[in-house]
Amino acid sequence: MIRNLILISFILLLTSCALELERENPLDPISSGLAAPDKVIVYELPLTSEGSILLEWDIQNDAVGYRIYRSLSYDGNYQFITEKMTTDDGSYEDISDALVSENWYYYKISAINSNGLEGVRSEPLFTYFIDESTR
Amino acid sequence: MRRSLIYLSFMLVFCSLLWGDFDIEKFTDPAKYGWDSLEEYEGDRERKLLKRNIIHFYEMKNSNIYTNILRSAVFPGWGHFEVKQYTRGEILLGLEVIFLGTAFYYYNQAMEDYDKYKEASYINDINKYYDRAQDKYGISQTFLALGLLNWVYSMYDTALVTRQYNARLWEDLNRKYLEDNVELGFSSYPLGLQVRF
Repeated sequence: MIRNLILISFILLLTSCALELERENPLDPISSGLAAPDKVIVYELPLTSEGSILLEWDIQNDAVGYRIYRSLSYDGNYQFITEKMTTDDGSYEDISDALVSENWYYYKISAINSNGLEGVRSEPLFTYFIDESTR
Repeated sequence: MRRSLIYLSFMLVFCSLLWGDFDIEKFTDPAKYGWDSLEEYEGDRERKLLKRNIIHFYEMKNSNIYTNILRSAVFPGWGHFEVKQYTRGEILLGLEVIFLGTAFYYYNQAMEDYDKYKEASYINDINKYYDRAQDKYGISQTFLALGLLNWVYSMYDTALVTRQYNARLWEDLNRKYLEDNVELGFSSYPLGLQVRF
């Protein structure tokens, strides 16, 4: 009886570990077969940016738009700032009022395909922002 | 008609007694049943009556195995409490609460991450939330399986301890009332059992 109980418990534990949640997200590449856009290649930013911060990157063929994120630190939380729906313009000028002079700003950019699936974000790019009006 | 039949059968018995080979002494001889004397016969009769009372007492006090198993099926440990195995009952009940509580907690956490996974559009978030949800779901299922195992074992153990309890009860009754010369009888008023020393 004890041996049967041990066998049943082993089977139950194995079964419980093997149970999987369904991949219900329609954008999930594993279940939907969709390909995620490639990582965006962003050009290096100048060490100092005056007045505004200009971001430029290589256009991707399968991208219908790009999302731009900004942070105050390299490993910090990157906040979404804007989404640029374009297929032929790989640039964005950040002139937000939220930019504070004499501060480092870090950016990441990702591409979105026609299904709405966002690819891997780029490596962080950074620049030291100086507001011309405060000079 | 009935009266005639009764009268006839009485006459037949009476005649058989008168003219038959009926010996009253032989008929009442205690040695015929293995008793050496009338006192031995009376002692044996008393013992048999006492044993009958012990059986009745046992049947009143013993615990039904199947009822106890059902109790443990409803509430792990309940069957153990019924046969005074409080420590084992508390351990089994405590384990069941821990297993099911942990399973419920991790299931909730898994569903939160799963909801985030379903709403995510960023590829890294999709993978991250799915993996987190899957890990927590696996843990909850493992604890659920342990809870199920504990529940099954609780029922099995209830059967064991109930048998032990009943066996001990029987031994105690026999030792107490047969060996210690304690009388055990039934009284009509108040209705129930009497114990006399």
